[in-house]
Amino acid sequence: MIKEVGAQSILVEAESFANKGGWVVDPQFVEQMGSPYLLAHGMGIPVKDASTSIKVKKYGLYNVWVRTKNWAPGNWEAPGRFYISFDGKRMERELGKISGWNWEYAGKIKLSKGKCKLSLHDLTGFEGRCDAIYMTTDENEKLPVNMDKLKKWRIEKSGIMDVPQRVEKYDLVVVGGGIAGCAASIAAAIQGLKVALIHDRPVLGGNASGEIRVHTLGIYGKFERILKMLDTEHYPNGSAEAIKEDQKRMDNVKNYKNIHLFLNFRAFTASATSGKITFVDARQTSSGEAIRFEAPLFVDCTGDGWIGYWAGADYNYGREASSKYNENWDTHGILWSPETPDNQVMGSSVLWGSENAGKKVEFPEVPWAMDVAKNYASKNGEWQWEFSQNDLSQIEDAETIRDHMFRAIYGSFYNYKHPTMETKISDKAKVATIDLSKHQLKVDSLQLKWVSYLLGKRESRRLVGDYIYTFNDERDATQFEDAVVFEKRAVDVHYQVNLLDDEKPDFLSEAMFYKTSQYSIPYRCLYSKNIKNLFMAGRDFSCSHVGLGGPRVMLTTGQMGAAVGFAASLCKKYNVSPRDIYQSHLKEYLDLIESQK
Amino acid sequence: MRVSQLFVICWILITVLVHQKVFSQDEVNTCQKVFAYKSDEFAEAYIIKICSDAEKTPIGYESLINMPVCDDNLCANVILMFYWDMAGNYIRFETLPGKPLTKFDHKRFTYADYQKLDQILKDKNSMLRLLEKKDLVDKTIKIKATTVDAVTGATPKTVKNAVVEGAVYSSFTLWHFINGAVKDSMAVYTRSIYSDHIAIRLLKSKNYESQLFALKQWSGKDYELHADLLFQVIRESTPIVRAYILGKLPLPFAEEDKNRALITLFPDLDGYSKSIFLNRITADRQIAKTILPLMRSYLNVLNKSQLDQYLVAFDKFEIPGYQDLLKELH
Repeated sequence: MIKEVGAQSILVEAESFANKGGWVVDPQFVEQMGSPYLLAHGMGIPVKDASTSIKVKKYGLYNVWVRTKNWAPGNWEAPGRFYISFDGKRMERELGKISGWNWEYAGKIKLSKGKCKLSLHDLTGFEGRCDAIYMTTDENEKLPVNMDKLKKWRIEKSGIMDVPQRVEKYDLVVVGGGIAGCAASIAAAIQGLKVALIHDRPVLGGNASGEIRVHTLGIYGKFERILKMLDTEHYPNGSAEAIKEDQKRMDNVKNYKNIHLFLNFRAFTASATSGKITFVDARQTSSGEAIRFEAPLFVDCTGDGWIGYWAGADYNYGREASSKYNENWDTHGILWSPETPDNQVMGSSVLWGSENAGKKVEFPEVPWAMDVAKNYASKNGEWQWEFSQNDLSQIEDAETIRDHMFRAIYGSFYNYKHPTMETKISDKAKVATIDLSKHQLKVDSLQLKWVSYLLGKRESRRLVGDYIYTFNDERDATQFEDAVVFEKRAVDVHYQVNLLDDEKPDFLSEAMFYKTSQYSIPYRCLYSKNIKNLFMAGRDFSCSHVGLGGPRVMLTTGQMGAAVGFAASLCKKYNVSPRDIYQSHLKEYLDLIESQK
Repeated sequence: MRVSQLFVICWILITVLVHQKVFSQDEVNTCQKVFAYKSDEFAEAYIIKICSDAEKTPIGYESLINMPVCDDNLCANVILMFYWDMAGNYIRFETLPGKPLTKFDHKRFTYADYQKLDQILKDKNSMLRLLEKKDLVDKTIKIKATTVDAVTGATPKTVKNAVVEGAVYSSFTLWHFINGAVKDSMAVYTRSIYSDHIAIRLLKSKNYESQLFALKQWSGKDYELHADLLFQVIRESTPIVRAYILGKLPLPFAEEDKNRALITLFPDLDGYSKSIFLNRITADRQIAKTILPLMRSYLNVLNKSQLDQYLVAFDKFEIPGYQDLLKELH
């Protein structure tokens, strides 16, 4: 992409680089740090250069600033260092060295009028990150740090409009292309609705996608036909098998001509008037192009409940006191449900694995990881690689959580390759000493095969519906007249293993299972209590922390999506709100669902 | 060495190594029947005895179990002596002389098998919780016993790690016995005879569940009275127990020394306990006014967001010295 140049300054958004080389676009933390950014995710091997062409309008001596971050500051060399160059001429200063997102000074350079190639050169392969590059001839220009000022400044400098010029109208707008969002889109499309499916990644599936690789669990309920288009085999979490399922899922969704797929678009606002959403705006994660989506009905399948949050929907976050909904289970006591509310929710996972390279492979020292990994060693990470902390929000502190997992992974892998007498093996959540005599030969040839850079989240905002689903409904198999989702899976709530032993790693979890008979979820958990035209499906459905424990897996959330898609079709038919379906059209709705088997 | 000699050595090793010092036989003075435990799961009622030390303080429960575990008559009854603490938490088992546990085909348990069984019984998260007896064997695969004219099913791969191999029914039955309602029956009985002696013993144990059991029986007054013991528990126990105590302590203490002693624990707390404690002392005016000024010497152990939380509360509750504090930090 060629950037037009102002009189004396040029702003280049890194994610808009025409050639991204080995760098990847990371849009996960836009709401916290302001923008998608480029990440040098090389698993310890420097990634190929990213480059783009810029157009300089006026010759001059430019001061070059780069918005970046030292993601693991401490008494060691910053892990994610890189530098930039203009037409192959390197700016001397290494970047990625200051903690927190900030503008780092790269130096001065004379730029001639005309085209120039701007490149990013990764030095480490360890998660260097670049948000934007700014060149200015003004020696004294003060760059904005405050998020609000930065946002306005970006709009001014980049020329990208904050208010989208392109407006699209649909019967239903589904935000989030995980299993729930895909199922909602298909169900609505089957019924003839014109659907926009907005997703911030290049592939569909969310946690089930080849980018995160969690297998789908649960039952199909009434929606076997739809969910079989989207699900996965029961391979181990983290398996590359997930990639082939991406293709199946994409083909199946694309088969529905009235699903309009907006991949790599991330929603950034939802506007509600008198308790009703009028539009959702989304932006392309590389080009910055924004589109306004208007519709009478919206579905929040973002996981984090962003649409509801922006629209002013009621929501809950954290663990309720056990007394609030009578959710105690004596067997696990306060691990299961605390006496007083807290934020020790189920955490996020980053899955990873290694492979035999067939030859000796070195893995560099990672001193910046050892505070986290300590003396634990592993060669792969399943679902137990999970991180939650009472004072970290799974939404607002998501980047910190992801980076903590990077340190856990790289440090543990280093330990696996370089064991000592103190090294402990983390086998699932169990910890044992390593047998050095049998160990070393096997690991010399081990190399990292795949590490996700996307968080696999379990729990975040839970939007409030007309009914809040709790442990009681799972334990007692409450019979609902509006039951639309069914599940048999045990209620499964996690805790961090270091809560019971602070010598254990803080990035491993353990599961507590409560065995139940089949339970069902009512339709009233799938639309907002106070935003009239908002459905939700996925982990942001209306439930308590423990209530989420059973239905949080992806076939169950997929059932929620499908149930919502069919409800939307009746909303359109009668021009009514989601609540009206429960109040006035329940029989027709349940008959419609029953006919889907 | 004869097989019988090996067995005796094995039995001694199990008694010495597997069993921890909690509820040691040296301590036990008398044991007497307190109730018979009967549930639908088990055909027989089991006599539960309570054991006390020389000072007549109850120290735990024991029960001699003689339990059939198989459906297919291929294995002998399990005969074991089980021990629990006063909260009903399983401590250990002992075999009786001449009554070793056996596996499929009447093979005797090895030392490793006994160790594994002990670990299985202690694992509340075992997948055995989710299984029914019918899930334990794959009836389609038959294994022929050499010493008995019979066949039995194979153990599915997924179950293998959760059981002692060759003793799948014993593992399953004993796990459900130990982790079933018998524990609640003991807890109920303990509550009926509860005393500070029992509480203190449970708090000094290393079992987080027993500590929590004891903490739940106490009122705020008890917490104040036994503050020194609780400070010791905070120093030595697990994050979840620490955080529980820190959430329950009747703060601020009337005695200044106790408040000071509490604050000295702060730097060594784990992250979870720190977070729970900070949330508590920054949420309540009365607690904040006493505790926040005492924390000033420990601000260097706070991270940035914790320090912000501290300063916001200091300002919000109009605690004297806020401006000086800012200058000092600057």
